[in-house]
Amino acid sequence: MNFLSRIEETLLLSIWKLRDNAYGIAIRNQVEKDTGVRWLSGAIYAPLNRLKKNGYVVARTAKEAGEYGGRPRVYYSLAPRGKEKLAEIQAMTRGLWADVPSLDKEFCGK
Amino acid sequence: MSRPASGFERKGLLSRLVDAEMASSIREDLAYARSSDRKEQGPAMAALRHFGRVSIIMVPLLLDSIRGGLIMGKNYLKMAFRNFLKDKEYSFLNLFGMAAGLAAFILISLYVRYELSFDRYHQNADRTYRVVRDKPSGKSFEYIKTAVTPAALAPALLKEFPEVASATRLVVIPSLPISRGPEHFLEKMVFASDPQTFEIFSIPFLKGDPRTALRDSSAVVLSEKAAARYFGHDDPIGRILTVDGRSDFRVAGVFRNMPENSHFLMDVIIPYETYFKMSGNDIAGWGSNFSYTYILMRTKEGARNLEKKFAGFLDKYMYQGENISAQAKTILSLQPMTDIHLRSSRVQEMAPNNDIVSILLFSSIAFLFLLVSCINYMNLSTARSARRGREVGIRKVVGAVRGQLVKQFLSESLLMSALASSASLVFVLLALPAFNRLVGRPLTFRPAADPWLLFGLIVLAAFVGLLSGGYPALSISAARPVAVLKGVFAKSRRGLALRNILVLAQFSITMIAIIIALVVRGQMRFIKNRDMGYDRNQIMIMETRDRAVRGNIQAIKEALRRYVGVVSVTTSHLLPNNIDEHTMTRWPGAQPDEQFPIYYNMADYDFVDLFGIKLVQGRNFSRDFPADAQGAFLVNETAVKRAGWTVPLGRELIHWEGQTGKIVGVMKDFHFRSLHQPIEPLYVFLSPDRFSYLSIKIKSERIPETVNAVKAVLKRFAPDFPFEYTFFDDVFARTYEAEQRMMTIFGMIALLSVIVACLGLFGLASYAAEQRTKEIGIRKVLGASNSRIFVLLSREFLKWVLLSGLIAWPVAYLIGQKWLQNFSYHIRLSADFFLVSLALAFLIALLTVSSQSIRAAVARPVKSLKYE
Repeated sequence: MNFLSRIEETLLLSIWKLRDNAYGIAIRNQVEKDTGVRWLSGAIYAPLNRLKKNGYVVARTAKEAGEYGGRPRVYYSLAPRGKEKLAEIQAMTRGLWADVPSLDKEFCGK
Repeated sequence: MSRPASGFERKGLLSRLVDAEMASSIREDLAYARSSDRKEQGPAMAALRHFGRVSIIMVPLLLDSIRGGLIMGKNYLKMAFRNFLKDKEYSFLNLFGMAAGLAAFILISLYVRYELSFDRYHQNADRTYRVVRDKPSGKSFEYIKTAVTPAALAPALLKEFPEVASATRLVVIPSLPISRGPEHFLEKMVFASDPQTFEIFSIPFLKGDPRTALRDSSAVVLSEKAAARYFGHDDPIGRILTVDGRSDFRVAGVFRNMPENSHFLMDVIIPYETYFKMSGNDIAGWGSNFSYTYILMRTKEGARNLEKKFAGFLDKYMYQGENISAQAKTILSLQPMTDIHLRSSRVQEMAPNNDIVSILLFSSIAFLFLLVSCINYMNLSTARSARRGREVGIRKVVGAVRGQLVKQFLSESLLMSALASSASLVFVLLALPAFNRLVGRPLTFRPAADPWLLFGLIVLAAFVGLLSGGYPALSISAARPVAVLKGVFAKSRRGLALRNILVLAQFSITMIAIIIALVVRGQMRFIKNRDMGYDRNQIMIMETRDRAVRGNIQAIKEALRRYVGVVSVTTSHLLPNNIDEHTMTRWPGAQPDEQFPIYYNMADYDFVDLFGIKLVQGRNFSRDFPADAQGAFLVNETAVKRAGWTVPLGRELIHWEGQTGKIVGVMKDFHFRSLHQPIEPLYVFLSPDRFSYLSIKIKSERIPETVNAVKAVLKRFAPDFPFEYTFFDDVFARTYEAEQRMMTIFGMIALLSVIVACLGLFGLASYAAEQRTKEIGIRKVLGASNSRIFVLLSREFLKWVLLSGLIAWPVAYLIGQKWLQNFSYHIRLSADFFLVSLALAFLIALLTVSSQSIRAAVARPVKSLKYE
């Protein structure tokens, strides 16, 4: 299985959550909200570019101009491959966590 | 708010890294971030943060893109290797030629870098200057440019000018006998200098204190090397050395050996003032000029202003208000210390310096080599373009874009240059010891320990790869698939013309190198065979500063003369091949405008006879004329001419104050300096007890016995004298060491360029023969003879060689002429050199081409025609 990096996974999730409204700034804000950390643009767009190149994400240019910079805004959505990947990750993550004892319990090596 | 994007994002890098959609997203995000920054932190801060943000976005994108490129690069590299192996003969030729050219370039660069590094290791090198003196003399007040200055100069400069931070004087004392207990040494070069020497120059002390070491009047400071020579592993501090058999010096310091890239190397230093007391000279005087004066300026800018103040300074201190016309006054100027090694050739330099012209010449040769190697590569690659054209056609048909093809070809040439660079490193390491002997420098080649060198090598390899691969990449990748697949490409006129021009350029360069090598060789032979006007065979030379030798000189001479192997014995202040001290001609009642500078030597009765110097008028010094002992002169013909004396004999001259005498003879002009300089006026003053050299003419048979006998005689009279001798012809040869070296270097360069050019031509010839296989087959079927085919194939190349001669000749003529102008006496640039070089080039070209032509000519047509 072809693993994605954690930020790529997070990006896919954010785009999926944002549905029709997944453009650059919105994606970044969503990622910041989900992770609770400030993300530099550089840390967002390089992986986003990789996802796009590898066919997980497709882009669509809107007719109207964006709010900033005066250029047509570009929206992203999951390609079928991206959606499959997300499902795969979800299944695997569930499997991974299924038999994990509760983390609230003590037992940890000093 | 919408603002035009900055240039950095508008077109450039971003659009190359990502597609338009992604770029759009990034730009919008940037604009958003910027506008919120502007609200919170103001426009200036926002702009700054914007710039930072742009850079931060670029880095990961760039890394991603490089990672992608590497995958493609691996493919290019694989293809490059396959092509390299497919055509082993060409590849090897290319590799060898390029490696040879690179090795030559690297070696010469190492040398040039070393020459440029002279004296730069001193921490204050950029603020250190040497004060030098232009002394007007003669009727027309021509300036004699000397490197030495009056003893009183340095202290006066320090006193008068606050901008001078420090000043020191150095005096070179040649061959001084130094003994430690019973052991005697002859120091070739002892320095006498002020304590400030260690303030100005960076000479770290291993033992002792540089500030005080020379303050004690009986202190001596040694280099590590000298200390080891005298004391071995013992601690030298406080030990005693006896100088000249009479003065004791206490070792007060040991300094680290000075690096070889210094314009003077000190081993033994004694205090300046002490030396003056020993030699009995006037230390406060402005008249005696033999000290080198170095100053350290407080600022670099101060130097120019200081030079302007020198005239007034000299009036105040040296002329002290005397009424002297401006044109008769000495001019002082400053030389940056780092300029001395390459740009100074004054009278009485400490050691012979190199010269910037030859450095420039070497650098241009290095670049020519580099160029030739690149040309070779281009040559061979374009020659193969037909074959590669077909490959390009197919690649294009299956969808390759031109950029990819260019990258493909460039990676081939880069691979080649990388391999060639590695091979050249091996060549350099192998050749370095021989090269060092040739240039007389201790060059090292350790790229691993020298980051700049390593960096330079990488840049060099990349540069060569791109330069040599650029043209073939662009021209071959431009091929139109339909045309090349039909085989039209090979007949492209432009490709052919270009290849011929490349051969032309290469053979021109080769021919220039051959001509220069021949000219240098011719001049050297001229020097060797020229009648210098004095003998130089079977003459033993000893430098004699030893007091015992001096004291017993008459007895020593008598004892030597009695030995059968000895023909004659003489003493002289200087040897006849290098008389470099001069003064003003003086005679009683001489008017200042009648005087002229004249070189002088002091010698005893046998000097002229022993060295075989001929007399054209009068007689030699003679014991039969008791008046001679009071003072007598021999002058040369040039002096007579310059003075305009119709009857020179019997004229009175003044040597030094109180030493007058008559001219007793006129010597035939001889070359008393090197052939670089014209013959100037000269006199020899009879002075049997002022001398530095003892010369002994010996018979040619049984030389070892004679040498032993001489040694025994000297041991008897001067037991402390460290017996060391040379032969005069060796001393003479050393004068032309630089030229000798130049000859070898140019010989090597010519040889190397011939090899490289041959490699290029060989490749082309074999290609041409291959291209015309079918044509040759048909010609043979129709009845052409082998010899006709041979001529057909060779003719074309020889035509270009002839043409390259026409290009090479004028260039070589100019360079040769310029070089020969260094000599006052030189050969003429006759047509021979040019014709010989052409003949040589012809022969070489013919030999190179013929192996291929013959192979093609004798091939059986059946074979060649069934091809396809």
